[in-house]
Amino acid sequence: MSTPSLSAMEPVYSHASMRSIGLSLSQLSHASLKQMSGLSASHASIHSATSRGYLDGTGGPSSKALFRERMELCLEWFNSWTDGQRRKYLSCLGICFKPSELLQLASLVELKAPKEQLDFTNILTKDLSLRIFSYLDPRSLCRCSQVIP
Amino acid sequence: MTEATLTSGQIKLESSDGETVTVPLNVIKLSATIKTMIEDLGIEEDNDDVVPLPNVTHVILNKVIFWCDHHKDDIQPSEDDDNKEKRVDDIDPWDKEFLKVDQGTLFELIQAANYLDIKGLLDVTCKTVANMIRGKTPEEIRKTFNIKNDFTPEEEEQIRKENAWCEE
Repeated sequence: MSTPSLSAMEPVYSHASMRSIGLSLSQLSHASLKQMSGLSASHASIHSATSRGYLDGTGGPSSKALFRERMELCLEWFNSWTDGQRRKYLSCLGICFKPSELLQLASLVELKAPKEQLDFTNILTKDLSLRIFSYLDPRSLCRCSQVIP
Repeated sequence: MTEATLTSGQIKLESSDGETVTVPLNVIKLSATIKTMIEDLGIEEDNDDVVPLPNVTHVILNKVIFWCDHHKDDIQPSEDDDNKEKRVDDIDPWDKEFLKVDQGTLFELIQAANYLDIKGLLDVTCKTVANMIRGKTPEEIRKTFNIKNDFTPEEEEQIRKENAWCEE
């Protein structure tokens, strides 16, 4: 009787252990979620007052406020980085974009940073602008002098 | 740094947006900035050191390297060439084709050529911009570079009269 009962017990045992693991996992994830919202809470108190809505414990997290909170945090980080760090991040972001998002970005870039019809004297240093003018004949220089008051 | 290293070695450059490019020294030697740096610092052949270029994006860096590669065997202009009368009609056809880019890219190339001290590239890019101005009326120049006309009609007439001599 001992052998079959053991084999019959085995699945029950493993099932029980699975359940207990499952339980502890869910407890763990619950705990880590709590911890995360705790983290957000500290950010909230530092970074913005808008996030209080989802932390008051009445209605649970409001995803809109949470999103806004995190977006502001990302922007804050981005603004605090060095030029090199920002450029590295942008290259990484470039890989994540969907084609439609890239189109949206392209129209924004066209508006904010046109690639044609640029006043080079605003972009280049004075030395470099003068270098360009040094290649011009007197008549062309004279016409350049009539461009702006 | 020996002459042999300059002809056979390679160097790693890192663009401002974090891309690393390996360039043969006999190509990038056209950049006086990098040439002086490797001579002074004595970077060994196949060294793993990466030279950061915080002012040049990888798109522009690749274009600069492409230009240097085409011109690596050119005879280098001597120092006193700066005093020669400046000619603008001598842009080589390959360079003309290479510089058929938007203004934004052209101005970035000027800045990169200046930063990396590549005389030939700086000359040809600045000449290209000068050629965009030559022969144009003030109004056409404004249009080319999107410059607002801030003159009143009276002022404009006045300035036209003052400069009439140069149109003779």
